[in-house]
Amino acid sequence: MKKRYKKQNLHMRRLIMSLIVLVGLVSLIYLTVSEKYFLPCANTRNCKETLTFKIDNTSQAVFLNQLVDAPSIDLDQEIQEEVVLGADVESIEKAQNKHIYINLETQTLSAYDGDELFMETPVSTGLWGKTPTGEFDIWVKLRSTTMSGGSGDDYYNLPNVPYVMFFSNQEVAASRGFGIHGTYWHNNFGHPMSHGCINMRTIDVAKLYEWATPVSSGHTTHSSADNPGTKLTIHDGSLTL
Amino acid sequence: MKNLNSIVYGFIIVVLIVGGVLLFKYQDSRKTTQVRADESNSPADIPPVIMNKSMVSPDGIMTVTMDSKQYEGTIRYVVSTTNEEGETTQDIFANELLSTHILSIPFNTWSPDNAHFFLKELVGDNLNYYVFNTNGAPFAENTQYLNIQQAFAQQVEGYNIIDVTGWAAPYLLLVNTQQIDGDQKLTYWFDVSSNSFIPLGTYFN
Repeated sequence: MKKRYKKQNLHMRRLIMSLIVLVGLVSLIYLTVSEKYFLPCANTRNCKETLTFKIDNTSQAVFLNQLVDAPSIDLDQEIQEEVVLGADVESIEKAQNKHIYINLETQTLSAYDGDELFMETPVSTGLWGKTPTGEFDIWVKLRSTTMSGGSGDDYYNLPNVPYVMFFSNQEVAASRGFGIHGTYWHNNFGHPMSHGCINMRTIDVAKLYEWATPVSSGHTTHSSADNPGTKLTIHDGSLTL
Repeated sequence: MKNLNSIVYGFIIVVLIVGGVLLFKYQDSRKTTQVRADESNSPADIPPVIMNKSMVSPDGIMTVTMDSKQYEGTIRYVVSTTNEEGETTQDIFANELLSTHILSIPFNTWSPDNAHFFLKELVGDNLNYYVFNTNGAPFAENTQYLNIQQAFAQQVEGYNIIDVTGWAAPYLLLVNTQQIDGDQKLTYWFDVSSNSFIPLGTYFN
């Protein structure tokens, strides 16, 4: 009887130990996988709302617990560029020659057309969220969208974020919502200040948006084989241009 | 009698001649003094070094311009703001400072709502920061500007300002500081609306 009890006890211990090891393994795998694939998106709560064109001329922005007036956007007053015949070939060549570099250490963006410097300006990258490093392609350009996320003191809701260029690569999915965009809620460029995106002054990003590919056609332009997106490299300062 | 008249006439002529010469000499010397006085103040003598710097707001609507004329030992600064079309120019500040005081416009000078801007002053190794209203209106207590360094010294103990980097929000300037007796760094918001400092949990590098 005593022997049987001991045997049952041993089985129970083994079972509990096995369960602990199994739970530990599953947790470890989950954390590893989620780190890579399920990180919160850069500027959104559900990873969808910021990836589409949106104009909201009625709401106020919230950033750092402060109310900020969002600039109104009137598309009727803006002249939309049309994709002219033959632009496909031109855009492919343009896209191949153009490259945007973002230096996280110096907090600067430089845009090159071949060897020619088109623009160099201070930017703000990730402070509350990390800006990914690597080589990326612009996959969509949006004239305007809403970005929101965070919670408590870190909650933000930003309508009419202007001139958004979302980028991605094989490691950082498009759905993560990392992009270059204009900024009207702060003016602290040259210092990290974002949730992972690249913040630029509106006057600068408007020029970059016009210059970069895909060649804009309306308020939303997806890159394609005929109209590819400009490549960008985000580095930690180790890259010498 | 005839001799007496001759002597009087002769005396009068001598007095007139001497008087004329003295008057001429006096006027001549006065004219020379005036010219010298003009020359010593004339910009043509030592031409001032004229500089013009400006910074456009992030939305491209407003521009702050700082004209400076450097004389011997002093610099005269004139600061003004203009809107996008250049229609309205608002004079903000005009002052002559010692040439050891260097004023500059930071890249992040404009508040996000373009209601304020700030200037940086370098005096030797010391930095001062001044906030202005874009419309030129005075702040409370009828001051033309808010002196951040002075307010910080009055309100916060144990820390020195390293730099004022820019605006976190329309009324909030980011002020990076460091402990005087240690290495701890702390960022404050300088609230322009209340002229006060708010310590933050995050250091804005």
